[in-house]
Amino acid sequence: MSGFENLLKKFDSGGCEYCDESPESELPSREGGSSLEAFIQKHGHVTEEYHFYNGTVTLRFNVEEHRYYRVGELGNLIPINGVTQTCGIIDKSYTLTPWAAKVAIQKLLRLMPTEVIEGVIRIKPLTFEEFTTIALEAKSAHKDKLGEASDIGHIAHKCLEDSINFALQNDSENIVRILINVPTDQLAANAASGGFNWMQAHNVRWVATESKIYSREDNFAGTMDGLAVCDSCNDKACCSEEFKDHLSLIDWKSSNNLKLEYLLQTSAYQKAIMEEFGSEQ
Amino acid sequence: MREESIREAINKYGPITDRFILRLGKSEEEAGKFESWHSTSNTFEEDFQGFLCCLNLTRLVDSVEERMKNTKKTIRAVKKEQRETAKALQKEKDKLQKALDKAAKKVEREAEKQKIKAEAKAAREALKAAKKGALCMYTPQVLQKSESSLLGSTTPSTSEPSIPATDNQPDLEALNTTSTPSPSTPVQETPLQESIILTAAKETPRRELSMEEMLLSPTAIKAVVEALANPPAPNEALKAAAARYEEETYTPTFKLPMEG
Repeated sequence: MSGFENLLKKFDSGGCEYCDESPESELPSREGGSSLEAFIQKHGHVTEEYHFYNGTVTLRFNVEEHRYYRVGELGNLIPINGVTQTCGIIDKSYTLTPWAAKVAIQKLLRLMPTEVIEGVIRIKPLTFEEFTTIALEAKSAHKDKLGEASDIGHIAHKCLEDSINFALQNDSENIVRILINVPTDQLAANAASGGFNWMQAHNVRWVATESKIYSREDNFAGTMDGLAVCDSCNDKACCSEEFKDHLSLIDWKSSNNLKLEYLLQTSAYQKAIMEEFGSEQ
Repeated sequence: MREESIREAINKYGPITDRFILRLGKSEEEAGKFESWHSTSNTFEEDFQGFLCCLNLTRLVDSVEERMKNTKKTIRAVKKEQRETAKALQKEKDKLQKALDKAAKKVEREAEKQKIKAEAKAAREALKAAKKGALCMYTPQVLQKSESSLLGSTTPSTSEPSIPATDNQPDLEALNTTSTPSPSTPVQETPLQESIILTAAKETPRRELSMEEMLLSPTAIKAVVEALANPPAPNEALKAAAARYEEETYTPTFKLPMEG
């Protein structure tokens, strides 16, 4: 057995001798994966392979960098544009700047030490140095806010995702009948509940969820939230025309408003799916 | 599995026609709120063209950034090279300067050495001149006697050697008496030599003689006396030295106009 094979065997047989991580930590399942595959996944920070166009195109995804790579003919990784990253080029400063200022002021007001004197709230005497410390802390409020919000969105999305997967595996019609893993956070639970109600209103029958897409023509990749067959709802504000059994692309967004880039993103997913499977029709 | 289900759905229901964007509110006011945005097939083309524009712009920006990065890298490399060249030049310059300084110091040291040599020579000559006078006081016999007393004893004598002082009159007389030729002194002194010895002995200042001065051999004394009696013709070096001495010690007999 060669030295290289011995090295690979070490990775196959239980973890890395140079680090303390357990062999299965942070690794996607390796269905029939070789030692080389395990080695690449562990030390290349990439996921397992995704195959497209009847296995003629192979992609890998770097979770840390959130980047997609196409596997070249020689096994080399060629970076390709991601859909979300691509739409990120649209300038959003005109909405983000006032919001950042708003949350900074809110945090500043929260942090200022106050006292009630004769029924009036007053600011406690502060040295300039103390005030500077508080102001600098308030300056980064937009980061705190983003973290908090993304947590709520993430929890709600996770609940919906779990429910959809459960339906795909257990329901003959792939319909979400109940929500599973309902979050304890009330805001997150409310958001998940809103999603469940929408599914019921549109008689959603799921086809796929969290699926990687790739456009060979335009060379971009991404992750589509879901694909489902839907009917129109009774709300004219949502579905202006009645329809039945429309194959629809679904994208969950955690946001305070609907943004232009969401439309561009979903169009890209639609294009990639139709490019890969539409030509077979 | 994924491929199969999508392929099956497309075959059964036709191409994707609709898009639903489902918004989950996130701010304090919006958190927990749900909103759907439905786009139909007639909006697809416009949206996708928008996406393609973003894609092209992203690629252009990436390309330009890559170019800028490479340019910066090149500039950094060139600057580094320039710095290294300048450093090497400075190093060479320092090395050269060091060599020059070393050479200058060597020259200085050499000059100092020459100066010391000259001073030593002058001192030696002065000593020689003084010695000439002192040595003339001793006859070879006296010196031979003192020499044998010094060299012959196996144990060093603690007492002062019995060397007569220059101002010692009996010694002078002894010198006078021993100036006659003897078998132990093969030097045949002439009357002129005798007079030179006597004159030198008289004119030599009173002083203590050192051991070195006393240890001159009779042959050496004979040579000195011989040289004084019959000095050899000056050689080229002596002539040159005399000329230099003349030049250095020359004082004009007339006054220069500016001296009034």
